Amino acid sequence: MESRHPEFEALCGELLDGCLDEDGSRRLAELVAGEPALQELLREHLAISGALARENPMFNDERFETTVSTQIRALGDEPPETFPTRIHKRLVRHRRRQIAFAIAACLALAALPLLLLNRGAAVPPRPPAVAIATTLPDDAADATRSSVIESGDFVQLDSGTMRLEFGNGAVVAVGSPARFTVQSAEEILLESGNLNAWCPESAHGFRVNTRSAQLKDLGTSFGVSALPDGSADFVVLEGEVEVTSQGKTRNLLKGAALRATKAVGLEDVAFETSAFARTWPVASGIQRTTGKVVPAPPNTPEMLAKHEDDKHVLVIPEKRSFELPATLPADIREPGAYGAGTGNPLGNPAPLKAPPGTRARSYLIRYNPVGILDFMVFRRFEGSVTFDRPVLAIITGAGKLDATDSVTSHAPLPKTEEEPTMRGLEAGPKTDPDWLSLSRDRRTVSILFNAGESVDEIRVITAAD
Amino acid sequence: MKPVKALSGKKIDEIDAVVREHHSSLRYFIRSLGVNHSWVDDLAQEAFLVAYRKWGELDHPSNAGPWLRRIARNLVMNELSKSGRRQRLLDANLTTLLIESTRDSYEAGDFSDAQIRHEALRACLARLTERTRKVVDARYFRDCNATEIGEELDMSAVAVRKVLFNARHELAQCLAKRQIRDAT
Repeated sequence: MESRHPEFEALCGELLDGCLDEDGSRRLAELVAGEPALQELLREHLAISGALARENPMFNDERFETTVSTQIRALGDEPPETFPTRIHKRLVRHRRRQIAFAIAACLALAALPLLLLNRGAAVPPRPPAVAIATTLPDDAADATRSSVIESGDFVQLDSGTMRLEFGNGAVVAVGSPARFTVQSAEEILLESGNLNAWCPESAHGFRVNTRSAQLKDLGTSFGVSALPDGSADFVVLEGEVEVTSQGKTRNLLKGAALRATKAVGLEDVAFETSAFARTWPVASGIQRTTGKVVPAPPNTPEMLAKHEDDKHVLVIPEKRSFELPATLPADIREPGAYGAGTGNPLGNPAPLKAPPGTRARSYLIRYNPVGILDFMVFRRFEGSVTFDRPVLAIITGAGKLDATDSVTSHAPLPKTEEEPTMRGLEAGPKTDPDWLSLSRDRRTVSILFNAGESVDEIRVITAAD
Repeated sequence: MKPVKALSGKKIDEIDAVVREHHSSLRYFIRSLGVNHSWVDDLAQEAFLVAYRKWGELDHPSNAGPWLRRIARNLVMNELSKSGRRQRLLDANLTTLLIESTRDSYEAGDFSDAQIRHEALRACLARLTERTRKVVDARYFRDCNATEIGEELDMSAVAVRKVLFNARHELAQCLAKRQIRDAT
């Protein structure tokens, strides 16, 4: 067996045997939290135990198919209001009876107020769960925490960055310190703090309210920064939003920014994104970076393509959710170490094959120095990036990077007069070789770039949202 | 509200085909979120019913897999908020974690058709040792718990659970190998 974890094995065994107590449950959750490999292992055991149980004729497939088919024929085309109407009628009858009881109860209350003094009030039904929250700590050594956010939940975030994944597909990252309320599955009230949001088509219309203005998403990636005095800044990184304040509405396109204050209402301001340096990477799926690898500064895709940095290797988000072609050229598909001293070449014929409809996300990990370094002068960069989704493939070759630009990139590298091969990773005898690895849980890519005169660059394809 | 038409033959045929093609992987997916086995089929049925009602939102039947998983994931999320229905989950904390870390669509390639076929599972079961097979039979075909199996086979409950853990892992690896082999 690949990785042994006796405590996990024992607790997982008890869980599936139906005898895990509360302490065991808590401990198992602690072990699994922040450990993608154990989560995968738990998922595997749950699935296999389910599959084994389905071998029982009581749960056989034919029976299931027949049941579903019958159910759909019986209920599938029933008007959506039929069931609620039936329930409503029942509730009306029930309510009439309740009113009668309530009158009696009021009389009793008036007569015997002390009798009910110590009785607890009826427990209202819980509001619906609308999002999963993951808090990424400031210190990478601390464990991440996950919780369910219900409609109406107020959050005071004192440390770390919180990623909220809504049922409609919207992803919001909030940086500490912040105070906000998740008003519904489609609405946040940001009292103070910075947030970045990305809304897929299914979440268009998502709203962020502040004390001075309201933002409505029209298909985009945007940032909102709210101050305790009620003012708020809105910046658009991709797509378009609608901002309303004091009865006036403005549409804002990518690369533009607005400020809302109670005194002035809406006013144009310079496009300034530094406030979102922590939240934008998290909203973009970059969970953590180490060493010389850092997230690109928040900006539009076109500006990111031009960005040059002498001191860092940047992780640049590309297309957020694109349909994979039947075959995408790639070099690395499996976890492991590749390049210098590993015995595994950086360049391999390892195309990513996907069935129709499979969606993916893309990132560039790029060293693009200011200007061009002198010939045979190398700079060494080491570091890693951890994504919030598993890596499906890595592209290291210049030709494959060029070939995949049109599928994965909003804005490829600007055209230059350099040779087309001046990107990707070097493995030739005349250069200091590069190295990279993909972790076993497929979330972390570590690199060692010996960057010379060319752009050192790889493309990472991960699963989509 | 528009009057509802009689069941469309084409739509029913399409959904029947989708049920046949995806029910196995969908139930596999729901179970992997920590749903109690006896409720997996109920939630899968609910997911297909929701899918049928929202059929117009599906751009092409070939994209049904990820779409169904998204529906199922939302249904399981709803379970977390209904305290009276948490019995449907093995453990609410674990389900929260598993939902959080679940991708809507499996990775392309190896995992995209992650269906456990009965034939493959049976072939993999046949490769287990006789003693392991006895433990698995007792647990999953006769519904005995570890204590009962231990009494029957003169083993401690802890040892039985260990055998089951290793057996599940071995089966998972065997199935993965067969899937790769079948795909090539």
